[in-house]
Amino acid sequence: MIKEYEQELFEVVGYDKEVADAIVRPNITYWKDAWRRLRKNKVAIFSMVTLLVIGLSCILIPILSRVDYTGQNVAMTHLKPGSQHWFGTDELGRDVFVRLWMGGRVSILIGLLGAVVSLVFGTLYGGISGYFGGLIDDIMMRIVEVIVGIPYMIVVILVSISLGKGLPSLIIALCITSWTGLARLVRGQVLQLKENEYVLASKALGASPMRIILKHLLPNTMSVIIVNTTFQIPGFMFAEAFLSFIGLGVQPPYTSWGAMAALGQQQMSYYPHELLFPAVAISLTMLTFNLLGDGLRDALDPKLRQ
Amino acid sequence: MKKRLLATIITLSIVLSVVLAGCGQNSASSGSGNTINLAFTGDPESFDSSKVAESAANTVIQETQEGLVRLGDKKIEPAGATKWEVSSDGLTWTFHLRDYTYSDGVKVKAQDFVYAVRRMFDPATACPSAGIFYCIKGGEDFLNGKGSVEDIGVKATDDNTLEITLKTPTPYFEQLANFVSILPLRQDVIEKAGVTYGTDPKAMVFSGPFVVDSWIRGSKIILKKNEKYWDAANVKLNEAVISIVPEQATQEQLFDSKGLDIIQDVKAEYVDKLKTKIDAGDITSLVGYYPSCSYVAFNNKDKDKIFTNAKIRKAFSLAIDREAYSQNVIKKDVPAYGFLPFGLNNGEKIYREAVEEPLKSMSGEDPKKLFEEGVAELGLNTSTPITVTFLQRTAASNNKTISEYLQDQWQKKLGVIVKIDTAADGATFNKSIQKGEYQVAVTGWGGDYNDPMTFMELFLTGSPNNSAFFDNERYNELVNAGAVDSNADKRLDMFREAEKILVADNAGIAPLTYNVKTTYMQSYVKGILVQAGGPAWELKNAYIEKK
Amino acid sequence: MGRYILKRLGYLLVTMWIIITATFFLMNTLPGDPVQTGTKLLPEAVAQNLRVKWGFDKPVTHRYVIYLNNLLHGDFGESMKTPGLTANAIIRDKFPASARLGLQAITFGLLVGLILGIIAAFKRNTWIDYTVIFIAIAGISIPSFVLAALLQKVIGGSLLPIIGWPSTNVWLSGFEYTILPTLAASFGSIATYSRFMRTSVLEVLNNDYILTAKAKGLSRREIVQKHVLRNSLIPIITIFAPQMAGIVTGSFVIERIFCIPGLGMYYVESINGRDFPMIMATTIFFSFFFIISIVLMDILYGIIDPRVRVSGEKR
Repeated sequence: MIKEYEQELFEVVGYDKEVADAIVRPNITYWKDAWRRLRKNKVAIFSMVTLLVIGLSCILIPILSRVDYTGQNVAMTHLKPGSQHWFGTDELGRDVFVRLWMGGRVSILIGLLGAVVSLVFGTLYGGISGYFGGLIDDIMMRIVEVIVGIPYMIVVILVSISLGKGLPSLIIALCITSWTGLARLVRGQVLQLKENEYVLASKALGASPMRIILKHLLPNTMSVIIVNTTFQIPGFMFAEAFLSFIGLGVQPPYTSWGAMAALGQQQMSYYPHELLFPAVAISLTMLTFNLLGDGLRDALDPKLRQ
Repeated sequence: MKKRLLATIITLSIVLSVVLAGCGQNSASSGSGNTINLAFTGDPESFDSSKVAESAANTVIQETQEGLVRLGDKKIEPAGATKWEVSSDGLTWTFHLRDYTYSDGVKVKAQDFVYAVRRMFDPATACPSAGIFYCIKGGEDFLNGKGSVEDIGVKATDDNTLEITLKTPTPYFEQLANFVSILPLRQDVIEKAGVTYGTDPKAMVFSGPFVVDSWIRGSKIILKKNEKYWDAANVKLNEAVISIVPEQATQEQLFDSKGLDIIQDVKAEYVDKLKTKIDAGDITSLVGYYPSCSYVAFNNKDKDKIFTNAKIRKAFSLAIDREAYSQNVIKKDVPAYGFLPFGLNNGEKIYREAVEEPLKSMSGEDPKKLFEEGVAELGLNTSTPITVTFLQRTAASNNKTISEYLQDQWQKKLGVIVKIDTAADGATFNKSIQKGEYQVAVTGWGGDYNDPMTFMELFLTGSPNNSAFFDNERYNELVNAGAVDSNADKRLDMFREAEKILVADNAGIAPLTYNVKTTYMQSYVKGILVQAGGPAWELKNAYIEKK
Repeated sequence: MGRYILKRLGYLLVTMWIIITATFFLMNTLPGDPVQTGTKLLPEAVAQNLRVKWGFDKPVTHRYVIYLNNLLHGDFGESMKTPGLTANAIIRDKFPASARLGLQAITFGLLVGLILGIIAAFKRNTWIDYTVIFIAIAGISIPSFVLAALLQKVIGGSLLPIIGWPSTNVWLSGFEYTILPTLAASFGSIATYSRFMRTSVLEVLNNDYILTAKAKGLSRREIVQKHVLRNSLIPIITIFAPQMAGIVTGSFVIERIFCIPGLGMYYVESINGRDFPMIMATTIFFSFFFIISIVLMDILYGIIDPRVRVSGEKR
């Protein structure tokens, strides 16, 4: 039987311009959406938790441990890992376990700071250079060539002399050249991307160049930026060791993973554990950053949005 | 297009690797007869004996040229000169040369030595070792552009007689005669080669037991027996292949597989590994003291005053546990309680065996008490702990270990705070040390010749290498008198007192260790001589016993 | 195109001049007396003679003019640390070994890296992908010193020689002596290329034309060859350019461990030893290659993706 619907059951609600465009689904921003998708990625979440654990250990273990990271005992140098010293002892009989977490503080800080500085600077520089092209691009890229061309070693020695020693000069020394690679990568991508129709559309709508770069071009180079940045983090950790070699990095009795690995290299044939632990620490951190980076890349890619 | 690009890349790389693989050839050198395999950690700078002062060049030059004397087993032996005499005033040395020739058959003449000495003092040569020969009359003046070349105290009275006139009596001149800077040089050969002399062995002539057959920079140097050598009958080796192997780990691996016959300057851990082979007689070792001493330099003219005080310096010196330092920290060498190392002769006697080390008798003193007395003498404010800055020569791992150990020792035993400052590189460190822009640092000194003077003169007031800025009148007096005294016993007494002033009474420096050089070799290597002042290894009488 | 290349060559001269000038003056402000770099001081008279010989008695601007003049005549000067050898001779002598190592390592690294990257992208988030990530992480976070030493220990000796880089017929002979150093030197590139390739391919795979290609029934192989490879090469070329330049600097660590008579050492030691003519020569040599490779990179961009108009020509 067909039910009869009578006219009275209906009423005219009219049509309201204000709410006509309302979207039924709750409105979520780009970043919220990314986070929602990142959460679903088990590998990425696992990496994030691991990173958190590493970070917390670096903060807490040196404070809570009864062993002093500077405590020397030259009668017990190069001990193998054991119950008393979990990760063994180093060339001055100091506990490697505590030193490892102590060193992580410096290394993670330097790795992240360096990455952020060159990320911001390199991305903007490359974006601007690639988007504007022409003379601006020529000049900006020639500046990169000059920076890469001048011997790095001379520059950092001069930085250490003129700016003194400490975190600011260390970061400057780390980042003097590190951003150039990313800048060139982003520029290359932007040169390709800016020929896309959506850029033309945006231009036609009167968007400012900065808006086009920041809103349209850079998000599309995100994957390259992420890979480059996650790769640079261990680079900074090793660079810090090199810079402390010439007096710019952390000074004894403080230490860092890079410095410990550099020292361990000298001993690797005889006391492999002194290289193994810092190297594993660096690799593990790097692995988690990379997996997290991959997850982020997937999460940030609007095309994968469901 | 895309397809072609990929295809091209792949094809190219396949072709490339096939070609490269196909061209692989076995160029392993056949171990013919008496060949010895050796290694340097770096290339020699040059084979020009007037222009070099580093060990690799020194070694090759000493193996390939024959000077007046040769360093035999712990004593100077006649070589190019058969005998020599000194005038009664100790100023004129006359050397009588044997009849011998260069590898091209030309006779070695006394004039060639005259040429070598004059070339050494020639400002244009800028010979780095010229300072060691300032004792030759007129040499320093000519170098400074004051005198004429004829005024230099060296002349050939005939082809076989060389006469050297000195400015002041130099009892140890015999030891200097072993130096590469006064090896004979052929004027015609040098003038023909011009500035490139010493870079191409084919354009050189050799008067020693070996000739340089080839030099492939960064790869290897091949020495061949010199058939024209006057004593060729006693040279048993046909060939010495010296590879350039910078990395210690690589050297060790080569030595393990018998690709190297001799290894030096190895880590304590590697020695432990060699123990079983040594016990089995597969490897033999030679232990030699090398005349070099590493020490803590205090800036005696410290701007912050702290190290201007002798008691504070002494406290810092006594606070160091030298036994633990040598055994557990650097794991090499022997603890030094004096400045003059073993292996230096004073006349016939070995100085270090005749004189007790000054710091040995002071082990009873309490460094902390000394330190507090010193601080009181200076009237320093003691409400906050005193801070000193230790300058290290780069943070290379071995430097760092040393600095951190000393930092810990001084902080623990003296209650000071030690900050570590790192020099950006060797040149920066040297500059700070030489200019006195530091408080305390570790440095060292290696002797140039076999006499206590090579050490004692270092801390004379105003001596260019006096990096501690040590300034003691009595010390100057004693050393200057000892330098020219030909009576060995009197010199010994003077040097004994001077050394005590330097390391104990005034503690201008704190000696750490004396260098010990141990040479390990495959047991089939025989007749090698390793000693201070000579080449890294003297091959003249070496040979390989049937493997 | 011809005009574009000419313009770039003009830029090259200007950039090189800036680099030369900056390096020259910066180098002269380094602490330490260039004739007194040893631990033992030379006697002052000797040092003074050396200063005169190397021109350090003249003011730095004067020396700069002399240097530029010599440079225009192709004269890099004599190395201060190896008496009698010119910087030109050293570079001529040492370049082949570094270049061969670099070329072999880059070729191998690029090939393996690209293949791994493509595979990882297609097998995204599977164990294959994670294995490739793992290799990449290892390649980046294991210092080349360690890797080289391990290779020497594990493979060297019995299977392959550990030292003995060919010194005659430098380009082609003795391939077996070059295998271990090449492997050690290429590990880092494998890591970099595989990661960038993976991400770049993923980016391309999301494009609609790939969907179209799939819909048309193209095989995976054809898709890769026709569409993916070319469109994902831009970042690879960007990274490739400085690596080409890196060939001339050689690898200090690898050359040291495998006793390869290359240039690497000079880049490090000329600065520590304040060997001014060598510092300048190595800088100029490296910068020249770097800039040339950047020019090539820009030209390649245009070839790979015709939409890219680096040369600034109007469409």
